[in-house]
Amino acid sequence: MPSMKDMLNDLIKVEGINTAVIVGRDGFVIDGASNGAGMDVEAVGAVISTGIGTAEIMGRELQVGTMSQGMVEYNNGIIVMGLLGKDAVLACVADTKANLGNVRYQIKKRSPEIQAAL
Amino acid sequence: MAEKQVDVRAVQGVLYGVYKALYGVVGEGAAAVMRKAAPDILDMFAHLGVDFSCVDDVNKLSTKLGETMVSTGMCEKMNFSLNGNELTTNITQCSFFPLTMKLKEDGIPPFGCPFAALTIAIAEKNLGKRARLKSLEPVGNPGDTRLVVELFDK
Repeated sequence: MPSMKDMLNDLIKVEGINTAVIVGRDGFVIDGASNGAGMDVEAVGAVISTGIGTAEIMGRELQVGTMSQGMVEYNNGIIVMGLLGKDAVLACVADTKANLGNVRYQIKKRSPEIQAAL
Repeated sequence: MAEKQVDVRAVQGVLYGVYKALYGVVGEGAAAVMRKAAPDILDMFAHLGVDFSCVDDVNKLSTKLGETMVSTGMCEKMNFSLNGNELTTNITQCSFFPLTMKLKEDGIPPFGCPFAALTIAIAEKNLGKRARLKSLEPVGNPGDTRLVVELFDK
């Protein structure tokens, strides 16, 4: 089985994805990979965890069920987040021109293996 | 400003409201907020004259943090032990135990434990480690708690 770092390095080879980070629900950065975009993955743990936490609560309050994946679009990038079980989150940063369908598919496809490595 | 002790019930009332609201808004992410807050709590402690900058090993951490928590009335005693990369802290008669129990009744985990937050913050800031709460559970008499923090090399 490849290491978690290897899996993240593979993930950022997907066209359009430039950063992938795994964060505990407590904001602890478990691992991360970036293809030179210069992101400080250590600094983003708390915001990723609270971001997905708020999204989960929003879903609950609006009675749309359990969260599986979240996506937020910004001027200069797109963040796609998914839960890795109950204790961790996988967040990826993609280019605005990325093929979002493929990005979402790749994250969903690879998440079980990444979760198993936690 | 006159020095005056604050009744711990008042503090727990305020914290109960804040913690419950925080958990209601960010859910499981509340623990991450506490992790983010902990270095600022340390800074405020320093501003108020409680400086942890001298803490550069686990023994000093246990002495300084233990003394501070006891002298400020947050617990009666703190004992630390380091086994490999696990730092275990036994807290005797935590002053926030009623708050923790009330939150637990409401289905809210103890994400706001100041003992855990400060231990993690000091370990990361002063000991050059990465640190993460592994477990936090009541043991022994009501009010006694054991927390285990896992330490990692950076």
